Amino acid sequence: MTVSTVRRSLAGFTFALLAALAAAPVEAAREAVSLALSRPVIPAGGSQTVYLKVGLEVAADAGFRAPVNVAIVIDRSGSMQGEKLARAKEAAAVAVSRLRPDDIVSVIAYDDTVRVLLPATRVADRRAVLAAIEALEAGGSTALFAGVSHGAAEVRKFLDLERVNRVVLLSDGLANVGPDSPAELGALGASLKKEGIAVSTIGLGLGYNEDLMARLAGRSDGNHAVVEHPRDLARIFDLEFGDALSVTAQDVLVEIVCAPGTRPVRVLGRDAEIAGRTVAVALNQLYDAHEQYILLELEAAPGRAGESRTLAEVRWSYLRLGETPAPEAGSRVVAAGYSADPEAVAAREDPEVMVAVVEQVATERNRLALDLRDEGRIAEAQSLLLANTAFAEQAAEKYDSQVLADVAAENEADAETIVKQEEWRQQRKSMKENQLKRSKQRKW
Amino acid sequence: MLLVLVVVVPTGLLAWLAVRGVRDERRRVADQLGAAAASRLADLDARVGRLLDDRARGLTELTDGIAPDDAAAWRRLVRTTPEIAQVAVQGPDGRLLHPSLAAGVSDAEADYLRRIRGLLEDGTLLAAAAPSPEATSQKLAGPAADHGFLAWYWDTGLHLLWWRRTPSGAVVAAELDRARLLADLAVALPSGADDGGPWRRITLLDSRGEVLVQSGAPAAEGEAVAAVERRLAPPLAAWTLRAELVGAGGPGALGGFLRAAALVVVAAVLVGLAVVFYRESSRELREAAQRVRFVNQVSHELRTPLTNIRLYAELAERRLADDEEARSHLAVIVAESARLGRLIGNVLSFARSRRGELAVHPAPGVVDDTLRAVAAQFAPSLQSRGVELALDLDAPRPIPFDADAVEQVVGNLLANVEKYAAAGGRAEIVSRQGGGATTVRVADRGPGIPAAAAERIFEPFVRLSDRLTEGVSGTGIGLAIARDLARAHGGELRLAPSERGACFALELPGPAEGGER
Repeated sequence: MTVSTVRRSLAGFTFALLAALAAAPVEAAREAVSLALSRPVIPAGGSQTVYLKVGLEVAADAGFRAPVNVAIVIDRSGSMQGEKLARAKEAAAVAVSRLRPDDIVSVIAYDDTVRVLLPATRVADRRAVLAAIEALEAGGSTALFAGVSHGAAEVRKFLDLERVNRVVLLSDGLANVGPDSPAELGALGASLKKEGIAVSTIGLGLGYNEDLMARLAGRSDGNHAVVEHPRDLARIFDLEFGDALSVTAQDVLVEIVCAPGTRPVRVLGRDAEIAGRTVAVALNQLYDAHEQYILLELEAAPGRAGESRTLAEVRWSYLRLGETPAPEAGSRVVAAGYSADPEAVAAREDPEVMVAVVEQVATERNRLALDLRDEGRIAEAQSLLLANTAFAEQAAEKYDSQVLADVAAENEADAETIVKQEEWRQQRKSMKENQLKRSKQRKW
Repeated sequence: MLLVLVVVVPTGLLAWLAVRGVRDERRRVADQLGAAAASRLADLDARVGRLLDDRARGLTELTDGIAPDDAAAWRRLVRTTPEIAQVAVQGPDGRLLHPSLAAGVSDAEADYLRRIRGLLEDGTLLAAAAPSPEATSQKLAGPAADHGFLAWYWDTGLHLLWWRRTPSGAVVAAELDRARLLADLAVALPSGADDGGPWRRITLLDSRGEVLVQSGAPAAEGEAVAAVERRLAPPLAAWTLRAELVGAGGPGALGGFLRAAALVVVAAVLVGLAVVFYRESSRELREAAQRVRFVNQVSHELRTPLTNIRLYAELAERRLADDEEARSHLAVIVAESARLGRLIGNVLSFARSRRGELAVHPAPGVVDDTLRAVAAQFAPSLQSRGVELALDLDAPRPIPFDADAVEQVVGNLLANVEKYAAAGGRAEIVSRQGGGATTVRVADRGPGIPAAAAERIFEPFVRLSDRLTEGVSGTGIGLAIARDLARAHGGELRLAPSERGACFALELPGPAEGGER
């Protein structure tokens, strides 16, 4: 359900983007970084809340794709026995077949301890890679932390920011050996992100800990997916490798320095470091034909009508991948006008930014609903989701947004199933998955 | 009873030895394995130590030249260094240089300051980093060190702070990323397969005994396991390395079973052997007793007709005074029946001696008379074998003795001369009295008897099996009977030393010394 719904919505989203690009060929060379304020014209007098959206997307060089350095980490605990492991092996083998000889791959299996089945090596010897995958056998419990650690260690052997460095983790269980809390796994993800290693987590079935898997993926800027049935593994691996193969820039840092009087409040949906008037957000990677954004809530300095003020300076830097990888950096200033006329303010509202804002706010509320449900406040959770549905629907209509229509549909489905005891486990997992996708604008 | 003893005692002994052996071996093996595992853990501890050293070196390089209050540089450092989570800088006066309110404090930084507030406020950090020899207890290196680690606890447990004293006297305190540290430890521990020691799983435990990292396969089912532990060196002394040791516990259930089974088999074999031997020996004893009884009876039955043969042969000898040829034939019959009589006498004496019924009946008499009579008996047969028998008799005083017994003794000795020493051509009987004893020596010039066999020849059925006894018939009881008879008198028969041939000395008590002088 989850995968297909989201895929549909993403397909729509991607289609819309592609359509936009096709309609405006001039924009084909559009800048990697786009800046927009939810309200470029702010009501005069008093401080006002404004959202700054920093859109990030780097087009690929024609015919180029960055080499990848990927560690496939597979849970081989007892519960993986049978179809799950067989499908996982199949999926991994198919995914590996998409790699090129100069890509690097390693295969790690863990149960209560870790085995590096294939140390990081070039894919040139495809047979060795496939043999290592084939050698996987199930048994034991789940040393997830150590498994990811070993995966990262293998990636680290060839760590290079000109490669897409990634750990792909497949697990159907809870971590029960070694550090096992979402916080600790999240911290590991955050540390790996500093090195440019993303951890994509694929949760299989109903037994895994979605908080932990989502946190690990979220904090390392990787993907997270729920796979209800083992037969979907091949597709997910395909998506994950496709994602890795479409990376066009890495080591991304965006710093937003607010002008005096303007205060950064928070960044919606992403890890950010806000100190004083400076906001720093790091991303692992940017994609071709897929926009990710940073949405910053600001408290704009009060201004007089007719006045125009600089609100912030945005600086960015990233490593552009291509035939000749090159570091890129730039900066731009964001300014807003002030008006005493509410209509003028409303007329200038930026629908694209507003769609992002609604998407993020709805996602935050979706999180809140999940927390309420965890506390057993089921009715409250449901009414929050219903309100969220209405909120998204309204905005979808107002801004004519397919994305928000999808958000509304998701929340409606969540509201419907959140009261059903027997479906909660699965639904909680899909909610986590969607939250991560929405807040980090994941491709799949 | 004896059977039980024969079986139970050795089995018990074996079992005890086995148990003791196993215990000793187990202890020794355990000691060895324990030592091997302990040195392995020491290696791993050292590996962790090197990891921290490397980390400290890397951080030293990274923090070189960053001004204490350069917030942007410190933040960049935190953002790009996966090994650390946060940084704070405290001035020598205790003032916080980074993060500082002037440059703004992020949520994560504020969190960090809250966690290490204790260190900052009571001066622990400054004290630890102070360039004095005091307050070095928590330092990794000596008092002169300008950097080191501090162990510090908050929510998820032990965290490490790396500190460094800058030239200006400010102290940099960087929180090591705990997740990264654990990840590195997970990779640093051997994965088990590449190890091959007598240990199985190696585990790193935190102070609450929870597993942080583990590697290696678990001990197999039924494998006896002992644990060897080692506290990591400071600053991670709250964490413990533990190795599961296998083989130290000795045999598992299967080994014990095998050992017990082996003991049972040994006991069974011993029981079987004991039963077989017992039955065999008791059968032999029965048969031997039967045989002795039979021979005894036969000997008794033989004596009566023999006596008659001899009696009538002697009578006939006297009547046939003229017929020289017939006389000589009869003389042979008399001599041979006398010989047969001696044989039968020996057999009967032996049987009695075995039953402990051998008795002599001493009566006063002159030994020389008896000796002459014996010599006369043997002279013809000795002569026919070319042996000259010489007598040198000087025991004229009467003593109490059993003439039949002495005759039997000396007869047996002369019979041996006849059988074994005929080649010597001469034998001698010497008698003397003195020192309260009467001594009779029977000497020959035969091949003699090796000194080593001097006692053995008196045992019954012993015949020196070499050239000497080859082809010579005999019962093997003559000397045994002779000595038994001598001892029954209170005397002795022994092999006396001689220059050539054999010389037997018979000692009989008496006459009393006083009588002579």
